[in-house]
Amino acid sequence: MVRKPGSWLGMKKPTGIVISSRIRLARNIEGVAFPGWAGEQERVQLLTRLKGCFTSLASMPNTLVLEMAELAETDRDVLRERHLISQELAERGPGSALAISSDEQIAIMVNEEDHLRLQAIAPGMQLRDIWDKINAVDSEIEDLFGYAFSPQLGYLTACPSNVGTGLRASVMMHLAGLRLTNEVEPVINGLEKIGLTVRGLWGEGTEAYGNMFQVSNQQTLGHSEAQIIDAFIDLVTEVTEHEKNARARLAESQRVNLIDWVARAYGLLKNARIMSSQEKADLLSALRLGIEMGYVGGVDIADINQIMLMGKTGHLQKSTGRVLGPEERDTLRARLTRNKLQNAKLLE
Amino acid sequence: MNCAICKKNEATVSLKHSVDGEQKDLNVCVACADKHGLRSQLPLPVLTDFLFGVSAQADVPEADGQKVCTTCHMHLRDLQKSNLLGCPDCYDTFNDDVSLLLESLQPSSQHFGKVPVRQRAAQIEHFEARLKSEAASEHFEQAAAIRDRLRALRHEIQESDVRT
Repeated sequence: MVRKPGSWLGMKKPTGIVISSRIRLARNIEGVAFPGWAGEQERVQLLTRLKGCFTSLASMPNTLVLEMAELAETDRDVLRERHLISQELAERGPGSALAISSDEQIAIMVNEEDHLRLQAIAPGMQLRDIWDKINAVDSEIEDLFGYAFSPQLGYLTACPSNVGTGLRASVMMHLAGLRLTNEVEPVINGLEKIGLTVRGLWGEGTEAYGNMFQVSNQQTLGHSEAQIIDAFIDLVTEVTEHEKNARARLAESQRVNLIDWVARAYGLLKNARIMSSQEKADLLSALRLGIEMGYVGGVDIADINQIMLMGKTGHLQKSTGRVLGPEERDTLRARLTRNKLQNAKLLE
Repeated sequence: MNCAICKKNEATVSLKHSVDGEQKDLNVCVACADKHGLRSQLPLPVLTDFLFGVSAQADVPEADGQKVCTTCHMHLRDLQKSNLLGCPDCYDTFNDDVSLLLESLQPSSQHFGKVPVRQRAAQIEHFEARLKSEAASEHFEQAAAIRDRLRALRHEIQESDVRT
């Protein structure tokens, strides 16, 4: 799986301001200590029980089970960079694993903070669709194993902040317009006030580079899954509208500055010989905006998503089959980006 | 003594905490205590984490042997260190402590979401009992929410019975 060049991010399905959607469910098996408290033997035993079930799920065909202890560091890096596993799982040993569907849209982490972290991921805004998918997988597993559940508190999780539905919905958003109009901070503050978590996908807080933000719900108890997802979609839609408005205002009142920003990024991405991952993320943000606003052609958003992924350290090292130093990585990242953007053209 | 946070007002609120096993006192003024939520019902580790940026071990009055999960042997102090429970039964053992934490994190303490098929009967029984007690205490809003969920759950059962 990790040798495959593409993933759901590279799909030829257009993504816009919402780059991707994700839903995860935290679940635990009744009568078994949570992974952080259980011994290694218990974790290994649980994984052995679960492994057989993963490969027989009708709602999750062609599942591959990857045990963390058996994976090379580069392979774990690749999975982490694709957001299929967390840093926490990547650092875990025997008993921890990832079960993944062949299209990489369903990924189950075993023995991370909880026994099971069921995740469904898709490009663009598809939260309701992926809820249906992960709900089906969840129901199938539930038939085979008894989940830890209480009529009062719902699904019981290692951390009380996940108890209840165990559901975390999140979207990755590209907020370049709001950043350019200096409105990203008030928008984020507003979202945090009403109980959402916003963090830069890379970097810290509002200093996120690449203008990529991950937005997710915090509360998991007291509302049904559908209510949580509907309320979350409403808020994400509102932010999307803010971003669209910011872009429209920029195009109208600062058109030359906007095109200049895009064109400079285009020039650097097409010609630079050395490029850090942070610089690349920032430049790709401008190019992405340029494509979406019709200033750049010959390349589509799926290409940008692929460039974003393949320039990451784990992916670079996997593609060359060896460990690379920082300078080698920066040179290779610049070359791969140039090659991928060969047909890109400025239209303005 | 001046407040440890603003360094200006007289400190009138005293909090005991321990950092790396060492007992320390924190004296703050009422304004700072309110501003930083120190007079709220949050468990001590949350406060000490916030104040000192470290996972502090709280002062637990119970001697060893008390408030220990009989299933997984987790002590209350372990929970306060990590904010993670040891096993599903810890929710019963540390019910009071978890409830305080949930009050600060969640809008309600009642689950209204999906119910595993094998738990449906227990959930209906639970809702029926809650419905009676909420109505008796004149918590009509909560009672209505439980009634609606109860109806939906019964409907789900009927539907799955028809399918099978």
